[in-house]
Amino acid sequence: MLVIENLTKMYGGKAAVNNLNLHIAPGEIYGFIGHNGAGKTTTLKSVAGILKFDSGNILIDGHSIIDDPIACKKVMAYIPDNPDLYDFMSGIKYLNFVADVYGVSAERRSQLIKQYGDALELTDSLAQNISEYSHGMKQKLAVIGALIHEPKLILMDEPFVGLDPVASHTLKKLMRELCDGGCAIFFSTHVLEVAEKLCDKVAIIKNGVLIRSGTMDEVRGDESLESVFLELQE
Amino acid sequence: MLKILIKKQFDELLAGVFTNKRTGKKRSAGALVGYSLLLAFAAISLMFAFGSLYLLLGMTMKTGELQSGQAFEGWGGVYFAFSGIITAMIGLIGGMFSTYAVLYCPKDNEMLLSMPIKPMYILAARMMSVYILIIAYTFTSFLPALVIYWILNGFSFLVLLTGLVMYIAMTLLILAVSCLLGWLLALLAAKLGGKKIVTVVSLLVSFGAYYLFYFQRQRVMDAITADPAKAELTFKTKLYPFYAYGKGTAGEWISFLIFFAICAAAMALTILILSRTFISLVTTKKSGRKKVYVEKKSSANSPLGALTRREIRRFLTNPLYLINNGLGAIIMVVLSVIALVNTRGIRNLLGNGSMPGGGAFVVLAAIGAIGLVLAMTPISSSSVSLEGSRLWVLQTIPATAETILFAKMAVHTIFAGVPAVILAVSIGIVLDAGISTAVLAAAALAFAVLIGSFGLMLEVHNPKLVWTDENMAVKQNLNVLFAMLGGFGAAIFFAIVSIPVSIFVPAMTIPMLAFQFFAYTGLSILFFRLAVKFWPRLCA
Repeated sequence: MLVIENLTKMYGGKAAVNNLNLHIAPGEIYGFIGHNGAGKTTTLKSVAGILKFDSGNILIDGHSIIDDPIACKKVMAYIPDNPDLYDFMSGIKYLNFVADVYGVSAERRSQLIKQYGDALELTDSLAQNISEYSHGMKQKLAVIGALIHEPKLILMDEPFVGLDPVASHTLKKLMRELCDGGCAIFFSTHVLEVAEKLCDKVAIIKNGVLIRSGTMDEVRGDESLESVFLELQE
Repeated sequence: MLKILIKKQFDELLAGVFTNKRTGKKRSAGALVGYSLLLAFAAISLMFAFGSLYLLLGMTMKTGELQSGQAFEGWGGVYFAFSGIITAMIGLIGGMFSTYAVLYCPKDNEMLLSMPIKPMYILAARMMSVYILIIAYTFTSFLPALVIYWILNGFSFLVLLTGLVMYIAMTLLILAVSCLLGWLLALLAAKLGGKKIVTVVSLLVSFGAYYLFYFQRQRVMDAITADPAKAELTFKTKLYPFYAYGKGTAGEWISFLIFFAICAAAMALTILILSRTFISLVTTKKSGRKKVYVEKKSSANSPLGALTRREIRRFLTNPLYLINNGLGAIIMVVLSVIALVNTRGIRNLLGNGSMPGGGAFVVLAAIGAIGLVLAMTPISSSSVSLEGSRLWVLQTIPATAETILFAKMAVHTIFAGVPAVILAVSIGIVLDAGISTAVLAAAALAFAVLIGSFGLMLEVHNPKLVWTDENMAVKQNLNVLFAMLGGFGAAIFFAIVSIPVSIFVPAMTIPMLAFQFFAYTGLSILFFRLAVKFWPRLCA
């Protein structure tokens, strides 16, 4: 579903991401962990088509993000770490806007808005202006907006930040269900316990270089993910 | 602490001038020189416009002096009172519509309020930002007023001194009035909730200010030149602060002190009111009832339709954007009504066809005039900067650059192009222009599209995406200024090229209009293609 080949992104003279390679198959939840400034967001933004990169290629569902970005974006959803949404819209108007852009039928969007809105306990607040939303509510709205077009690949940058424990639990459940249905999820997190419990595979990045990746068992061996991560960061 | 906050305001103000925020690279010396030249050109153009106004008034008064034997010097107070009105109007247009956004709506409110900073300091630093705008706007009126006075009356060191002090006092008065309006809007928003009330009040006040500036200016000038003594008395009884400003600038010490006291009192009162209410206003959320969502049957729309509706909603719900970039649209509709109501008067004024070439060239003058108003309606030239930190949405959706930018152009065309067509048709009816009316309307629409595509191209090339308050994306955005200047330039250029041809060969009027239509359309396509080409650079 997602193939990252030799991805390199430079900022000034410094490589934010250096020759990164990663393969994510349908049905996988792939965790991306690393210290602050390691290159996680840069990688996710490059995959999402928000950032141009200096070399390498990114293939989404067989399409190159360089050559055919529209085809890639049609099957992908991105949730940034701090979703700044249109505060001049209400929640429902935002969701309808996203659904229109992705060509979701009126009937299907109604079902999905109800399904995910209820699951994340946001349905009652959808008539409110986004400017009145809390950070957590915006995060929930961004999640619903990402799921409304039933993407094959979901990119999430720190998706649990700002969510209450119930919403966080619901989102984890949703992520598992979506991947069981064939979707692939690539997300960054600092919460290693979440990564350990939720992910099928994990990649650890340090100073822009991928230092370890694979299934959870391959990466951590007999240790906890936290111990491995701390060891690798030294 | 205040120094640190003011430095932060300045850093924001200058962000993007020396460094390209998109690429993080320093701008080249050539680019900086280019920017400086364009800014200087803008300032000189405005000074030239105001200078012409003051020269006209001064010369007429001077002629009166020769006829009546009265010295122009004696009427310096009236002359400066008039210039004070113009300066105040310009300053208010520059300042008052941004104070609500700058003082009360920046994104860093919570962060700054959580720090050990006196709210007054936060307020003062933000007021400084508005004050710089006011200075930038008003100086283009103050300086030519002084220079024209010296040209007609000889240089006076006293007038230089009093003029400078009175000017500073005037700018502080404008700041006080602007801040009070911002405070009033914040109060209304907090009490009544939402931005709708802010939009309505801002529109009414701004339209009043523009109306006074455009339509009453000539009346005041005529009254002064007809009877300076009577005008002076009117200033004294009805517009005392301007009377005191005029007299004070001309060197009368009592008026000088009174005006200074008025300004100081206004400023003190403003600071008192704002500082006492600042925290409660920035921390008060809408008091309205929470709306509960009731599921309704939704309908699917095309991506272009969704993007266009999004642009329309943002334009209509953002008072700052609406007033700063879109007020020309309302002015065009009002002008259409005025033209239709005064059809006979306008025809008499134009001599009922007795002008050279039967007056056919008036149609070409009309497209020039419509172009000048359209240049003041640069809706698209803030449309990318206003995306700010929400640009990621447009960057991640499966829509082409053409679709995204076409939606922005569509909004510009609806709100600038349609009023331009209405005005063109009204002028055509007034002038009884026949077939020319259709070509005039087409040319007006094409000119609206030209301003839109030019502004959009500037925006995509160099947007101001990093800001803490929307004022920076709208009022402090050079793309708006350059789009306006480009519009003025194009309108004047085509008028100069085509009007003489029409005067000497009236049959060339319609071909010249058609030529303008094709030229505007061709340039629009070029600018739009460039905007589409530049769009991927936003992902650098």
